[in-house]
Amino acid sequence: MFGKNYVQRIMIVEDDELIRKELSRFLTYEGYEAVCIEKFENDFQTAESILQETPDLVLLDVSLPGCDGLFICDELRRRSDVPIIFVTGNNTSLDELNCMMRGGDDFIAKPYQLPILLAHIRAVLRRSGKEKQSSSVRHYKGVTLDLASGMIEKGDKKQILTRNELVILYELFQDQGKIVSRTKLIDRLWDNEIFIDDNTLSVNITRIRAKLDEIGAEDFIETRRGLGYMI
Amino acid sequence: MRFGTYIKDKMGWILLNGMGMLLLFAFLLAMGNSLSAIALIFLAWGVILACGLIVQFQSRKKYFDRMESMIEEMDQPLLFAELMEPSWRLEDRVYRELLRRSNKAVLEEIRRKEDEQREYKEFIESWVHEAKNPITAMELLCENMEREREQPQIRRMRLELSKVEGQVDKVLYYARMEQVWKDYLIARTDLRKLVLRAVQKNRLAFQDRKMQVKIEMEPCFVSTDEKWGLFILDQIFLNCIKYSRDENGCVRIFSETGKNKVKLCVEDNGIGIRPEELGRVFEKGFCGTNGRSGRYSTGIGLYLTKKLCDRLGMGIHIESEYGQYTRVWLQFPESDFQKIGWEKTFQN
Repeated sequence: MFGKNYVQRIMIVEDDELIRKELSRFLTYEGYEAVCIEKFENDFQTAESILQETPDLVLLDVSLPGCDGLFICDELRRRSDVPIIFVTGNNTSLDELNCMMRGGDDFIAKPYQLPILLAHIRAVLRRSGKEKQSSSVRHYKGVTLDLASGMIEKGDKKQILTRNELVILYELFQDQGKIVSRTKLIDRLWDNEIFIDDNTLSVNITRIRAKLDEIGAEDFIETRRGLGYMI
Repeated sequence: MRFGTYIKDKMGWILLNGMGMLLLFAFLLAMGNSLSAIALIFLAWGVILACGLIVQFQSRKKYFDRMESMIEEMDQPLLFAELMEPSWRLEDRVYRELLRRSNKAVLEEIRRKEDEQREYKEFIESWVHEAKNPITAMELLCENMEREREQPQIRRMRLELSKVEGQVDKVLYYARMEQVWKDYLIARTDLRKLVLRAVQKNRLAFQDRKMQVKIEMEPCFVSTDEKWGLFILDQIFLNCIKYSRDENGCVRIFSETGKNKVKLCVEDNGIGIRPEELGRVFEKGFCGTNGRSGRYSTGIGLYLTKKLCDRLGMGIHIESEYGQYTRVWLQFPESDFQKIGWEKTFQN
């Protein structure tokens, strides 16, 4: 749910150049390091070049020109236990089963929902123990957001936050000094499975403000009319 | 075959006999025979004729009854002509031959159509897979663009793109539906996770309509195929969105666990369904007044959903009050896979 300091390498094995480029851009935004393979000569060499990059996770397309994702998976499995997520446009049960039997860790069908792709990546990394926990405390203008205990603190005063409030504040702390649009906040809430609408967001912001007032941090959140919020 | 109809059929024959009798009667009378002698001859003729008819009727009836029961027991009555028992009668033999020829033509025609259909289906499938690459690329492009610069137009594009994706999916599932049994993997599935995925899939549309989604259920496990289950939920959510009210739209999802089954309810506070139309929503091509009043509808979504539910052994029913709410109930068989030691391990 929250960011991390250690940068994980994700290998993208995908033949469509545009998807490759945009996916690596996307993963970079999400705080991963993305590496790609551009040439697919044969299964063995592709597997070789994948391993040379020492990735923490491989996103492996099943249908590649001149190569077979399943054989690449075999080859990778023979030499390493790097987590593999299969990505494919074929979403029949047979394909899915095939991928799993070959030692894939997960399977996701194209076109993937990006939040779902991310969730899968995180889940696989977590299972393989490669995800590193980052510090769970954020500070800004004397206010401390403690992610682990879900508290907001200033001086010796504390307030307990709900999950919604925690996600909103986390987002504002991440982009401190910048305007965070309402759309983006709603997006992040939806990412975290809190499916609220615009009105409810306003209600949540009001509650956060009340809690901030309680701990003596008045006007901590600024409203920019028509744009969003910032701290 | 009944005796009465049989006699009617043989009327020509009986009339011929009658005419013969009449002629004989006139001849015998002219030859100066006594009436009692003539009556005796006719009685004998009549008895022989009647016996002949009865015996013939019995044997025909037996023959056709046998064949009728055969055709009823056959899996493919189309192949009947091949199995017809040979008969010494000329007519039977001719009919049998004609039937066989006609059947052969029908079978060839069916084979040809099947081939055509299979090819068409394969084309659709490969087309859908081809189409998915550019959709994926465009989605990534939009997502990345939006990160750099938030613009309502980009969001709009993403929403429209997700609609294209939904439509493409529908085509694929429609093409595959006839062969659901070939392409499913019933496994222990977390229903709550499935619901979450379906919600995420439609998030842009939900957000666009400024709707809230409340998921009021605990994780629970059911036996279903993830992919098809997701498609079914997807269709239900699409309807929630399409027929939502303009303000404060809300979808509530909750579940009830019963004996060996889990019931899932998707309730929205949308425009609802008129009571007189409620019984027809699963019909193919049915749009109803809602579908006609400005909202584009093909009447395929719920038809597909119902058919899929039937094939997956799931129950579906809808209750609604016009202008108030619509509730779609799905009934899943509860997962009993632990009993046979099967678990879907690759599900996160």
